[in-house]
Amino acid sequence: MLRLDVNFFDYIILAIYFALVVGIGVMARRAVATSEDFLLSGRSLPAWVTGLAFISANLGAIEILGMAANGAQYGMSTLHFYWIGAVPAMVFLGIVMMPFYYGSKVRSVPEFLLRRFNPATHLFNAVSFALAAVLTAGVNLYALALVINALIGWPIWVSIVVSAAFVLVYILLGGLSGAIYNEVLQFFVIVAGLVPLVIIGLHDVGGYSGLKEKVTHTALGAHSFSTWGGTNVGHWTNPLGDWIGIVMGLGFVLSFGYWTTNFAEVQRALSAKDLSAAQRTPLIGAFPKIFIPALTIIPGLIALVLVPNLNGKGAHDPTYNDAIPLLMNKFLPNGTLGIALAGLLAAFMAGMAANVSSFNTVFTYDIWQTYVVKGRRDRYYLTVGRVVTVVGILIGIFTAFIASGYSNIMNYIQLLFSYFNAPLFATFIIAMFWKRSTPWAGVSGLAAGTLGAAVMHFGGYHIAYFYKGGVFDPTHGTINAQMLNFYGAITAFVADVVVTVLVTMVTKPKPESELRGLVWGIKDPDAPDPALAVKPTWWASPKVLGGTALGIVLVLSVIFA
Amino acid sequence: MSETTGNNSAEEEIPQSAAARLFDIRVLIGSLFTLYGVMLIVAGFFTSKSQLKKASNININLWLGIGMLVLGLLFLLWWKLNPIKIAKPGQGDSGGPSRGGPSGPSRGGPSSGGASEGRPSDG
Repeated sequence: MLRLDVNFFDYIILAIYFALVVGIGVMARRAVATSEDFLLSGRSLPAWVTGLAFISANLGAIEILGMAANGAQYGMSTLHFYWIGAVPAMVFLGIVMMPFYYGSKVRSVPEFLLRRFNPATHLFNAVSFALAAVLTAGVNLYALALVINALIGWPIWVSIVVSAAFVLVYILLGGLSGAIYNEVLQFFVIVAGLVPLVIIGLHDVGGYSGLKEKVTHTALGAHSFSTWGGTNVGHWTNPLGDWIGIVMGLGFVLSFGYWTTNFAEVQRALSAKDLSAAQRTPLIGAFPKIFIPALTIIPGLIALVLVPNLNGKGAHDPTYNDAIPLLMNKFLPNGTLGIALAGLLAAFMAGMAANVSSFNTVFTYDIWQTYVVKGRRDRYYLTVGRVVTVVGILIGIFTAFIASGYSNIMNYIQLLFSYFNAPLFATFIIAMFWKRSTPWAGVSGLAAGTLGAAVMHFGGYHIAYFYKGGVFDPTHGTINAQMLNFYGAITAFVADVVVTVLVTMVTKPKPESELRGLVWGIKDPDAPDPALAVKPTWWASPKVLGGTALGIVLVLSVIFA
Repeated sequence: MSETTGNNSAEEEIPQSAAARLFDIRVLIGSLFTLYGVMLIVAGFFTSKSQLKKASNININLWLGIGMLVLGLLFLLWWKLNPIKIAKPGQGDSGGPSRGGPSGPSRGGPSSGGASEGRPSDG
């Protein structure tokens, strides 16, 4: 379909980049002596590094290509995924939740649940997270292979094995530091690759006003530049549904659930060198997050205007997901093309590496050390971490090969894990702020919320309100899947809260002595005195950073309403 | 049991964290972007008519090259002006949540990027 015109110069740029990717792993090797060095970077990194890694771990290529596709399909409403659907949660994580995570010295998100609740809650979360992480790593690998195949023409299996080998080398040698340093580098390279697309593209369509004018004449129409238009409850026309779904489902339940409890994200903050740096990790990450849509949604819209038959009915017509590769092909001269390609491939590998590096930590500490082989020396768990890394990547390769045969299976698996993710925030917020909530309430709430999400997902197909124009379609062709997803999350949250409260009423709470440092209002006497900690300068204090991020989002939301 | 999880490793000889030996990523970002910047600027001087036309008549290799060169030099400058301070060797960062104590207060002055502390040994 679209074969990039890659020449010798581009290949030199790619070769330099990939040599450096491996070089980072080799050079980070000397900083690994303990399991915590390997799995948590020895909790030594400065805030700007962990902050950029925090956002980079989310800025995988699937996210970039997918958000450009959403831009072409939904228009500016896609901004909701970046602003209301991310920034408030990141600020909340940094200011409110990080003291519990970092201050309690847990080594993973599931470990927090173990200490706050009980092994059942812990296993429920650790196992579902570990499984989701390796399978997602495989999905990333497969998506990467598809893109390499389309752009450069390598066979699928070659791409899968070669890119898995790169990720394996830099994580196996450098551990989390290898992954995080590569994420930071990748952040700058992907931005350098996408900025030229936006500049040339906007120049070509006559600037932002020209783009706006031209999009009006496409299928998206004039409403596509309004983010909050058509979100009235009862008769929605916005492509993301009504405001209850957007604000409560996306902005509250899904966003807080992902950003504050997904270990692939929180792990970056736990690797920071002190509590203040850990708190600033998501806050520093929030600033790039606010402006990344300019590099994804805008190219999506430019592609919509410039590419004939985008998402056409023909078998060979390009899909929305091809928006960014198509523009690279159309606009970028050799040289800049090499940079953009390096950024894109790096983003795929970062997406995979974030999953592998969080999987090996959860498996080593939460499953192996906690339940299988306890009480060995640290050296032993360092080896386990390395072996698990290899195994995780092998499972990822295996998953990628399965996905290349049966792509539908992957969709079902991802759907299944979305049920597990939906109720997480409810459980965590109750865990941190209601000391009475009991160990068994933890796991019951999670199970109920997961079930609630699944029931809503299937039940929602029979509710006319979720269909375009409120008209039921027996073929399900006009269902608003995003909106149904948001409402499924709300259902999961409510089910989780109700069951957690009910079970708490009839079971025994933990004594307060076991909850020190884990729950609001119960201080840990062994924790370092916050008054002794190094304070950042006033403009870098968590409250100022968080408030500034929220303020920018608010102003931008009004401008782009 | 939940209180002691992960505490097991800290009993005999406590392994020393080597995290303080991690290199500084700023050198790498700075070097790579400087190199890429120079390469693209040179390429920008030899951009053919057809390649120029492809990019909507913007010499994007030249402009991106300049941008990357500037960013690369800024990273190198930041690294020069505010190098990592080597703090005293760590107190032994054992695996496990048993670790505690105030972290080594070694930090550089404020600078761009929100946080520019040198990496301490973080005991």
